[in-house]
Amino acid sequence: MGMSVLTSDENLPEPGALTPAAAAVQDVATASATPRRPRARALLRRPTFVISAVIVLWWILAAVLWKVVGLDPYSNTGKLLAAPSWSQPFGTDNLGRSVFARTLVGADRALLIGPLGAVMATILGGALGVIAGYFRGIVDTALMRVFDVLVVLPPIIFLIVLVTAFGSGTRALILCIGFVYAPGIARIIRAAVLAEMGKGYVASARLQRESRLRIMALELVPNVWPTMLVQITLSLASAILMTATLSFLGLGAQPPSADWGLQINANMIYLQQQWWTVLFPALAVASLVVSVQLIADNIKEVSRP
Amino acid sequence: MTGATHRSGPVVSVRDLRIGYRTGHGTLQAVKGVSFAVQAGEAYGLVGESGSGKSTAAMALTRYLAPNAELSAGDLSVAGVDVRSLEGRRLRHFRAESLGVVYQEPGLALNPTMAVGEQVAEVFRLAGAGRSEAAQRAHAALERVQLTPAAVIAGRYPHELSGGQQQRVVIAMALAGSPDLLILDEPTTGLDGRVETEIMALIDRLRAELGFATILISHNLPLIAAHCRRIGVLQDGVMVEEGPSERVLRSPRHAYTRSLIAALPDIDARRSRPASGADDTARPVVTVSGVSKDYHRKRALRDVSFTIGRGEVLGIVGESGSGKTTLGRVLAGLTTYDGQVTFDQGGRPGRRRLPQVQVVFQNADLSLNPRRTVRQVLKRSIRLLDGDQTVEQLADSVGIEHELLDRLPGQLSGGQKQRVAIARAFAGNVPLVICDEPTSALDVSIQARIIDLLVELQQRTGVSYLFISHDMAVVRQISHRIGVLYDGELVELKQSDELFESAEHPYSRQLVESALSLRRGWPRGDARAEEPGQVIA
Amino acid sequence: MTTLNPRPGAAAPGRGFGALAERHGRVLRLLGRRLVQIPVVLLVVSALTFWLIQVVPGDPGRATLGQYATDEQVRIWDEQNGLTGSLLSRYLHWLHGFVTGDWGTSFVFGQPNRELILDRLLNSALLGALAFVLLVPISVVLGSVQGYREGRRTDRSITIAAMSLSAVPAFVVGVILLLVFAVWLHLVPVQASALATGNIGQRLHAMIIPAVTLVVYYLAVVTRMVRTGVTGAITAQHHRTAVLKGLEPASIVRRHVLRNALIPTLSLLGIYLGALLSGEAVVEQLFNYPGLGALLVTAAEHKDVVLLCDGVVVTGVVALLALLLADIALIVSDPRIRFDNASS
Repeated sequence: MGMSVLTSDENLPEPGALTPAAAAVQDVATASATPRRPRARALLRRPTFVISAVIVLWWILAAVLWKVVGLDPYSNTGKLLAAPSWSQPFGTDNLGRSVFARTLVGADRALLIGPLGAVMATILGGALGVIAGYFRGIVDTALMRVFDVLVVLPPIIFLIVLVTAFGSGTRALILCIGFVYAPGIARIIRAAVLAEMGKGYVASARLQRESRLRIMALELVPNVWPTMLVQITLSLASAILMTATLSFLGLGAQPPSADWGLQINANMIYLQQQWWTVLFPALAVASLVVSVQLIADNIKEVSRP
Repeated sequence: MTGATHRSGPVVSVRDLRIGYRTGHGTLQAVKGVSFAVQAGEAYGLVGESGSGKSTAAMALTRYLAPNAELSAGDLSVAGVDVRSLEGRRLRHFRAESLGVVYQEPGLALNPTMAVGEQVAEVFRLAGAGRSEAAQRAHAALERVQLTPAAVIAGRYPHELSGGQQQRVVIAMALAGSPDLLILDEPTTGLDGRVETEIMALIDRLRAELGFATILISHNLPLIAAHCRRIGVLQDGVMVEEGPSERVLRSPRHAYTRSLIAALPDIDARRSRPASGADDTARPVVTVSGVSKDYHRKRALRDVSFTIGRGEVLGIVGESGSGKTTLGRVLAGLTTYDGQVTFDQGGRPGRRRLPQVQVVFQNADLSLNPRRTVRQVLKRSIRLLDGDQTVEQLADSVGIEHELLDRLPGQLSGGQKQRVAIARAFAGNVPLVICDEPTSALDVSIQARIIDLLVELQQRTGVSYLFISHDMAVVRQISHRIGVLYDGELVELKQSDELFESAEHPYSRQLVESALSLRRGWPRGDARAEEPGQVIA
Repeated sequence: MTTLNPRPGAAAPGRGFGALAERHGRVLRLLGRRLVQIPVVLLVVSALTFWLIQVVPGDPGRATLGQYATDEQVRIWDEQNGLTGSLLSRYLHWLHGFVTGDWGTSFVFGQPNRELILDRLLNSALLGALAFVLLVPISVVLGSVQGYREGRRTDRSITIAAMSLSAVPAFVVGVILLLVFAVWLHLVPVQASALATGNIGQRLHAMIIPAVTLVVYYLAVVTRMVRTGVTGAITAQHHRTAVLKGLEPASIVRRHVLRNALIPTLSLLGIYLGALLSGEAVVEQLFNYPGLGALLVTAAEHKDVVLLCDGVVVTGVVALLALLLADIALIVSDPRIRFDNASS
């Protein structure tokens, strides 16, 4: 909720005038523009990107390797609600489970449902957006009207309905996330495609009787790709957040899962005395979502023309 | 009103003006030691191509420069005020009282969410007038620029006015503070020829009445020559030539000025020879009959009929909104329409599925996919249009150097991009090429070369053109016949020379008039040259 | 000066009162279209929700009446609650009830759904309104500062800070705020549940932390939008016109920058106003606040389908009304919409 709207300013018409500085430089510099810098290198030069990437990598490693390393998120260590110490860096919860282990293991679920949901949303939304933008007319109108209806409800309410209907199994959650985010992505991609459609190169390709599929795949998609990439990353952040939110609301993962949202939900009652049971999973989900979000922002910054 | 009364020296004095922009890669010098002076009530012109620094030099007088600009000058004063030292309140007072600016795009220069009367009244409010007094004076100001009934116009928002009306509002606003100097920054560039004539006449008349000086900045040499007493020619931030318009035009001393003059489309000359297959009109390439088109219940084209012969260049002129671009889109099959457009399939047996039309668009920036190299674009075009040349041959034929082939459009100049777009249209043997203002976005010197290229290609390949433009001079140069579109109707269609000599429809006559009026004082052929310095009403 | 008649249609302004009537005609048509859209959208939303929720396996009748009820009793209960028959007939039964004001009874709470929902909606709206009232000025100020400092360190810092804060899940922000202000500093109560009862001052006091949590959540988006608007307005050519007129900076900001800059933000604010007023499930759940969002979560947990469906439709109504409000605000502030002519 809200997340995917972050880039909605891309829907706005471009401000017609450059800043005086940019216009001046453009006025002086000739058209021999410098070749585009490789985007990857530009990204690596941005500190917020590097830090975020390291954090995301850390959680990916945790998700993949926790079994290998032998973390045990389920068994009782013998001490209930113990404060953080050398042996239990994050303390233990009401069932004596290691909060450290549970926090690391929680990455597993967050990084399974979120990314797959985001990929589904992007494929679905991207395809619908390109189709709507390319064909316009009835196809476009019909799709947009349907999306209008879908975006009326706040996303969380929409998700609650979907989860009530389809359950909160992993596969169902991925589908639900995909459905919830696809319309927003479709709208933004459609807007980007419409902007491209107005340009002469698409008309030229059509005039040369280029096939529709090639126009969409070779002319349009590469040009809306930066927008798409940003959308993928943004919806990834949202999807991770939503998964945790559903668990927090008690509508997602069920005990004894190490899901971060579920941990926070289950331990809220201990917040006043045993804050560590809540704080560490909270920091975990926050760090992951914020990092993905910042990665999206950085991609957007460097892919600006 | 204030104007010329209070001083004997020049209104504007600029000596050794230098302006640079700090960038990541050092300082870019935009203006490199420019000096000029403008007398009270004088009409001065600065001419040059984009990037010549003409706007930067003039805007320095307002002290409105980008934050990264560095300015130095031996002298920079307006109405006796040293502009360099102004800050804060004094700068605001100076801007409010000593100068007015008229901008290139009036539609963008006005605040879209404020009624225009209010925007004019703001200036009077600033000068201390009460609300109702300011409103009254704003009405008077609007009347002075012939916007009547002023009370009605004052209540309108900018988007409800036409381009010409918007520019009148901007002029009223600029003159509201009774300035000594009016800076005109390409004031008519986006406007139609007819409106341009009216706006320039208005400014000339007001200058005579009120006595302010003007600096007219333009890339349009004929316009400057017709409306300025003296002109300065800028190239790359250097003033290469300055003098009375008459003298600069008749005997330019600097090579750059000469090249600018040479590059101008000559309204009396034509480059295209008679159509090679002009006698083949019995079998036109395309027959358009009774075509109409509506956009949102608004008429764009009404019952337009004509033919284009094989090897013929048909020029279409009209102002923006006249439907000329729509006509191009109809012929290209890019939009739906009522009526009939029939292409002659003869002479091309068995190739019915190949496209009949290609288009060269106005904006080469947008007409090339930024992510495909020149080679990729041309290769695919040859394939799709079933051409028999190689990429290199095609590049040669439009003057694209081979080392540009592996570049992306972003790495090409405007003229190079347009050449690629033209090459794309000529990748196969397509009988009709629609040129939709193909040179409007380019500098004059490049314009001429692109027109040359189009003429040469047309003569070599014998294609037909539908050449759409708002510029009568350009159209006349290249076209065999010219059609005049007015409000979606084809009001006149004649041989080019015939149209210029005996236009029948009042609108066509106006177009021809406006085009010719710019050549007043023009060295070649026109006997009606004005005395230097005389104000042209 | 020779003039031809202005081209008909092309920005040809009408004259006098006729034009005014035409202008208002456009506005009315626009609003009329919205008002027609609202019931249609609600119908679709409710049908979709109803259909989706009815897919749920489970037996609410049995669940309510308990294992000792006879099958006959369960059947009668189902009938009373519109749970028998085909999907369509059940929907129509529900729709009829909803329209006539009979929203059924919640088996979870044992209360009439209508009372329950409207009570909770009022609570949610109070919290949402407080958050909204805080959100707008904060984001306008931040966004304006960013717009005026575009590309500088201040700009980038605010973007990153606001975005990072907004990306933190609301329940985490809430937890941290609670830890700091309630658990460690004892400035506010830990549980906000008392706030449905206390006097106005006590309520506001207790609502501050939940409201701030909501503000943090929406801050980045709205600030970003304001920033985009301000950057657009101050790089617009008409801003240069205003500066070169010699106007005072304050009057430029007020009359020429903010007015134009905030127009694009209005629609966004409309969407968020709807979401805020109809209840933010996460925050309500976290602070144990008796709002509509939390009610719907409970309904979903217990598969109280009728309650859920009623609640979802009410949420939709609130969202659509907020959008309508945004439209009206847009019409009032943007003359280009008021007197729209599809310029080509």
